[in-house]
Amino acid sequence: MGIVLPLIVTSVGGLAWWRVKKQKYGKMTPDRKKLFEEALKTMKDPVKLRSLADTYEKYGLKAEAKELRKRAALREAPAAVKEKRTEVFKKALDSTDPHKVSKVADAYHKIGAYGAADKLRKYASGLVPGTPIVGSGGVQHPPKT
Amino acid sequence: MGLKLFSWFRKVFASFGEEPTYTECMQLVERSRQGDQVATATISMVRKNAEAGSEKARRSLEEIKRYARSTSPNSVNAGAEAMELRNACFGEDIDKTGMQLSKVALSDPNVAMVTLANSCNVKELAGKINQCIQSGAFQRTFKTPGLFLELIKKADHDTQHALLLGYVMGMAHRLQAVRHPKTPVAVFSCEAAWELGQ
Repeated sequence: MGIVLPLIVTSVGGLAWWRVKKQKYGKMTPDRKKLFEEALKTMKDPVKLRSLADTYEKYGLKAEAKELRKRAALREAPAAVKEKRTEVFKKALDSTDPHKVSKVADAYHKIGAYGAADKLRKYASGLVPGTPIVGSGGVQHPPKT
Repeated sequence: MGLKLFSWFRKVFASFGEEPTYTECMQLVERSRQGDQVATATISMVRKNAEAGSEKARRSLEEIKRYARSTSPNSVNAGAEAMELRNACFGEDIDKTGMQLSKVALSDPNVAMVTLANSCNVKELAGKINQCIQSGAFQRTFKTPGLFLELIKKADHDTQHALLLGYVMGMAHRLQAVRHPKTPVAVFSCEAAWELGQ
């Protein structure tokens, strides 16, 4: 009997601790959401991004951790890849086809470049459908009659 | 008969100096959106009178604001107007370009910016439109767009209109600049530049 009572108390305590832990595990609380959104906008250091991603993963937020790792990977990409991405971005901003620009924006969104994707989407939304092909220097030339 | 005539005269005279009715407010907003300078000036006058303390003008201004906020400019018209702006730029008609730019910028600044960037050399155009150069909006936008947006909020209505044109042209110039292979992406967007590894 002397051993049963401490056992019951420990079990109840353990169960309560497990329940509390389970409730927060994998849940995007308002604080976590705020921190996540802030990190996406302002955190520029890949090491810090990866560290935060590990923390999120530890608490069962795998999707958010993946997003943060994508952001870190953007900066750690090889120079040639970065150059190519910049070139594609500039070419998209030179295009007059809203569908093509949107496709490029989707591709940037997939790799975690949300700022670049937003800029391209905004550009695509400002394009007038049916505009002629772009000439040199990004300036369209009047259609030849 | 005399009484009827008297009441008719009273009605006619009473209508002078009356505040615009709801329909008139609606028409003013719509005409102003379509680039009618008289309508824009009338709204501006109502605003000034309201600021001076006129009760009638204050109520009219409320109606104008209520209508303007409850309806958005027609996007189909914005598209058609953008096409006209593009054609005006191609035709190098500075008067028409200025008028069309004003229309499109008021209904959708983003469409105005993109159309302008795709239709003409914005730096040259800004040199031609004195209004924008005088306000310094073009140069200020090219340097610091964020700070400029804060300044535009504090300006009066007429100045805001001029500044908006300058803002649109400044942003269009940034867009044209970033297309050049050697221009850093940060000229257009700092966030995108970081993401692209610059």
